[in-house]
Amino acid sequence: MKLATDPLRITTAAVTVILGAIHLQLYMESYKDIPIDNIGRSFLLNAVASLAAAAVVMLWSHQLAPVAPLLLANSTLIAFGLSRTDRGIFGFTERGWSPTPQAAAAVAAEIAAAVFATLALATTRTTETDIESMRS
Amino acid sequence: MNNSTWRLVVVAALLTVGATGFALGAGLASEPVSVSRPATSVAATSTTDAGPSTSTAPPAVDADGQTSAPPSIAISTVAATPAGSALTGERIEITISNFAFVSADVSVPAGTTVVFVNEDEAVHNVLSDDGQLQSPDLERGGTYEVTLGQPGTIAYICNIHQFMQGTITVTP
Repeated sequence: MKLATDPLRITTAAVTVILGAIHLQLYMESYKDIPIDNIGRSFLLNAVASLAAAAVVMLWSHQLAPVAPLLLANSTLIAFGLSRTDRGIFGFTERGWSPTPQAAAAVAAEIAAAVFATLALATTRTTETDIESMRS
Repeated sequence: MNNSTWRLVVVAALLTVGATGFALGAGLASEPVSVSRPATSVAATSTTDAGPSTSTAPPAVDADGQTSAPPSIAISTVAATPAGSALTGERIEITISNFAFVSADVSVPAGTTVVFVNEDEAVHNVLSDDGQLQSPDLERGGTYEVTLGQPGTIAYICNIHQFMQGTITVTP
């Protein structure tokens, strides 16, 4: 197992870590205190999942590895959108780009992660060596 | 790339575009909107306190169509008070922090000015059913002050995060 050198994978991993860091900061700052337990847990889970997805895309050379940050980024974007609806997510609602500036920064990181992950998917090929290493 | 990879990439791109559009659309559609305070229910308060002053409420229009100036908003120097305590000062501060009103339940004499200060990164507001408290959306550092003249109990919430609740008991 070796670190990826593909710039697309490295960029994908970097922005994925950033989006996780934003969620972790919000969790530590105040979201852990929200009495709707699932909200705080979701922010913490997002931070952990971001690290895991970044590790997958950096350490697993398989062509499908970028699917991990792609799914995470898109799930987080959808959760952001749901939280701005009347029903919210787990009953929790937010408004506009609050909290500032984290909401806008997180959405930017999520879009970047999804785009770079998609590009990585389109350009990465699993080599014969990779297949052999996976078999062994 | 073979056909199955192309299909995967197309699905990924569509998913990304869809999720991005949903997130951006929802974020823009729910931009904070300021709420006008009814001039008849809340006494607008002018203050001459030194320190930063920020106007957060738009002008209110009374029943005669007269536009009144928005209340002056100032950072209060009065410390937060313990929950449920009776207060004798003319001005108290209720801090909004960690998705809660600190000192949410207070008792104050009529004529006291209550100042809400949002210290959270999230936007909050302060609304009561009877309309006595009707703040605009408060960004971090935003304040809202109201002078309470009528004795009684006022239950208030943040209507963005409705688990945030408190009461102010106004005594004669």
